[in-house]
Amino acid sequence: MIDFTVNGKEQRVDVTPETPLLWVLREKLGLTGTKFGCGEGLCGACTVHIDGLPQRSCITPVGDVQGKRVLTIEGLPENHPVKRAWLDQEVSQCGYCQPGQIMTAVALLEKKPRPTDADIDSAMSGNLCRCGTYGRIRRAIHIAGGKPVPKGGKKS
Amino acid sequence: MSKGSTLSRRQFIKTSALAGGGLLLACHLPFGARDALAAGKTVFAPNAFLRIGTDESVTVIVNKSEMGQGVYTSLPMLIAEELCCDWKRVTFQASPVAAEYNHAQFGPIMVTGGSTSVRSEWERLSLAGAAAREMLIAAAAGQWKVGPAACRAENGIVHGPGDRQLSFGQLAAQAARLPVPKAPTLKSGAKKLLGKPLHRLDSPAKINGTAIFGIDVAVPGMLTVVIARPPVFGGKVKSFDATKARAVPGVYSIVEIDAGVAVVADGFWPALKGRELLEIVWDEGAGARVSTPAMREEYAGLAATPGLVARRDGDAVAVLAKAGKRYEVEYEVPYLAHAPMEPLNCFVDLKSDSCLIRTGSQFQTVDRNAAARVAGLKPEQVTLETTFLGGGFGRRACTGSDYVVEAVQVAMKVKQPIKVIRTREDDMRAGYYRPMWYDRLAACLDGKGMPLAWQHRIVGQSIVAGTSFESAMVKDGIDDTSVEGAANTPYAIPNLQVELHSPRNAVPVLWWRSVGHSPYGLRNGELSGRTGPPGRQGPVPVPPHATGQTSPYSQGAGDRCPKSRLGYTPAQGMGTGHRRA
Ligand code: FES
Ligand code: FES
Repeated sequence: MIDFTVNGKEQRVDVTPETPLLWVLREKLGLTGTKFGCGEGLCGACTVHIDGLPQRSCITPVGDVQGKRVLTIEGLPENHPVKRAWLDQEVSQCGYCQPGQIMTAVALLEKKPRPTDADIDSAMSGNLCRCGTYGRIRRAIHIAGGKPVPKGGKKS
Repeated sequence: MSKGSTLSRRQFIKTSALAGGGLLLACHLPFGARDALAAGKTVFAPNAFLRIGTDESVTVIVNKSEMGQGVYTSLPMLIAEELCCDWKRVTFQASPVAAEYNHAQFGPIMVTGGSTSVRSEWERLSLAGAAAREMLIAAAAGQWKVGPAACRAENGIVHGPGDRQLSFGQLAAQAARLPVPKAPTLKSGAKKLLGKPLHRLDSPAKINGTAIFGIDVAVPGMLTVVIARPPVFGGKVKSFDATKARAVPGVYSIVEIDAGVAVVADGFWPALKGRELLEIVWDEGAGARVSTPAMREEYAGLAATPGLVARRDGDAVAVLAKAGKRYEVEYEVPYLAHAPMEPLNCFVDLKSDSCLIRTGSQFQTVDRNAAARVAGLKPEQVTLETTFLGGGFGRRACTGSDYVVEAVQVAMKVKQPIKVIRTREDDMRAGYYRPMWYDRLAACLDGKGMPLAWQHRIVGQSIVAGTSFESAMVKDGIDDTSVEGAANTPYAIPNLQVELHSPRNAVPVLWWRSVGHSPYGLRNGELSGRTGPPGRQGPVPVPPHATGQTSPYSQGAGDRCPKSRLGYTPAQGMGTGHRRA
């Protein structure tokens, strides 16, 4: 039995401890917002926060989160500034990578509320987007960080 | 079922013939409308694409797959523009598979591809919206005993003489009893929605984790499957020992299917662990002899010999033979995986007389029919529901329906709802791919430095060879997609010859984003850069210079390009552009 909290709710699951957290979230707890892209820690689609830090849930054995706090995309408040910025900039294309992008961006802004382009590039470099929404991701992070972003200009 | 809803249903059936553009008439409602009817709500469903509820809801049934391009917004906009509804009330729903949802231009098939969603649906959806608007106006005019010309619709309200107003929701039940106009009139005047930046209707679901992609589909009792596939294309299972795999807690069964050995478990992780412990002896077959160096050698040899002629203008061969300076170059592009962000997956719930499939498909009719064939059912016994697609790029429009067929085969053996998930490695290794291409180009210039002759020999697999699309798409041995972007080059070169060799091998190949234009953008652009006017340094900006067209959409440099030798006129509604490859 492994006990931990997910989005503020206590959970107890009966799985082998080496099962990745990703599959426990998706299959046992029905939280499918966290995505599977590679299973190897290479794409970032599965990013969640564990005790406030962004982690790849696909390579995190659920045994390691015993007693810890997990936050998934479903646990972010509806009016979270990062989500609002994502809507404002219409970041999503297919959307598959976006929960992971958002979780990484939220963690970055918690650590560094006014990130530079370089901060963003380095924090986000592990989150791949096959649709290529990187330009808008960067703009949205600036907006969520309160930096005024000029209207128009390059939209990519 | 209320009287009103019975009438709506009849209206729906009657009008789907109209909306289907003369295609087959199917006697069923989109599942959303069906649910609403079952719930006893009165719904105005004037055609296959639209229903308006007494609660003012406007639901657009979208027959295109959403894979990032925004069809759940752009197609509702087409209807909403003509309907004159309140955009804030508009929601979308994926259509089921039915004839009335077939592609408006590609024949009897439901498919999303070829960058055609908006242009192919423009007319049909505009008319669908206009017809509904006319019916709502007629309903209001009837109540007020005035002529329809005295009424107008705006923002979900019909306005009549003397400030009279009725909302679409109030009119829905009455409108459903009216005949559907055969030739509705499109609005005149400025567009309210089209051409305006709007927020996407699907964005909220995509950022809060509620958007359901194929991989997210789950039902109680569902089992998860991963498949061990042969190490080479075309390989087969000779024998296998599943003793160790079966011992993994959570593994439910191991079954052999055409694609390989499937491990069925109560979750992805035990299925994967089970697969790692399978001991399989493969019969690798002829595919084991395929290798990149061997193919390169074979292709280079073919490129040195004449191929089937796909286009011949003038006499490029003779002009090149006499040319003083010839530019000759060979290009090679490798196999390329589509690699959608969401690895392929497919949910199947198979019963003795029905089959429910939920997956992110771009090719619903083909996938449904393939499932029916494999399961021994009639196509109409198979229901395919389209989820969000975590990227498509053509991979989810598979001529062989590989990821659907393998899931149905597992379901036939397991007799429980199952979902096959490909790992990233499976997704990359199991095919399909953009073919490897080997090209040989030769060109020479005239006295002014303009291309005089151009010979292009293409070597690569046909993506439709051996599929049910071969007879329709291969003419005189030439697969149009193999020479797309080359035989229909926009450059007006007086002596032009394009030739094709289509070798076959075991590597599965498929269309991909932009199809022929992805390799040919490189070749044409790069060689044009080399042969550009003498005295200029570096690559020449070929497309605007070469086409010499002032597109209605072009601005700046494009407009100032010299009129040139090329006679390419973009089709109406299309602009010209540069391409980078
Ligand atoms: S699925 Fe975890 S990093 Fe790709
Ligand atoms: S939005 Fe499609 S992968 Fe990022």
